[in-house]
Amino acid sequence: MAKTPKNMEPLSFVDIVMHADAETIKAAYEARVKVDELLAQREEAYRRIAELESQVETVIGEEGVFVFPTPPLPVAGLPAPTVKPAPAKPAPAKPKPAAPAQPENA
Amino acid sequence: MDPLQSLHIIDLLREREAEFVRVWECEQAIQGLLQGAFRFDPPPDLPSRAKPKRRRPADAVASPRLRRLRPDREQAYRVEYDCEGTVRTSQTTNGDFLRSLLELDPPGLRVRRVDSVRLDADGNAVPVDLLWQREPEPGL
Repeated sequence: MAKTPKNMEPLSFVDIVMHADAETIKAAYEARVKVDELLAQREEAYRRIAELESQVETVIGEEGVFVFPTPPLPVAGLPAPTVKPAPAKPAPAKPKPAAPAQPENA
Repeated sequence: MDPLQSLHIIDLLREREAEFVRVWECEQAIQGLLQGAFRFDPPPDLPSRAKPKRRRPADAVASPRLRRLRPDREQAYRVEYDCEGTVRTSQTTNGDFLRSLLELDPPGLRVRRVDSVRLDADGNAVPVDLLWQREPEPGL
């Protein structure tokens, strides 16, 4: 279940009922249910990651030796993925100064 | 590490990567619902977050030492090796190549022992010294 952030006072049932309209309360409830569901999925993914990493260490035969790659996408609380810098684009060629106009032979 | 173990690790790492994508998707969906206001708990203790162990020099695999041939009485190295389940022997005078081979220790060509040899009058290799021998693997 989603935790109340530490620096926020939890709202009481009366606060919610008296200070928000029914549509907001309904939308908030649905969002809260969805957030709890997603947090459970995140927790399950981390449980599986721990299991897979343990299996890798079992294959290696020693703990704390294998260097695991960083996550492929940025996730909370872990080092950001290492992105290779894009190769520098060659600077656009400077336009050559226009040749002085030749006097027309009339 | 044999090739099958390497493949197994690659499979496990791919699956791990897919799970990290799932974590990212969940976090993005939550931030989308809450307009980026959610603060996630730090990830649980994963083996990958443990401090890596430093190998003591004694733990490091010692590079196999193979001395040079003594030209007055040795003319080649005789190598006994396993190749595709068959024990074979070969001769070489190239000590550098042999040292690299021992260091790499490829699973498809495992050297069992190296002797120095001299050639007799009939051109037969006569063993002189045992220069290197694989230590028996634990449990065998």
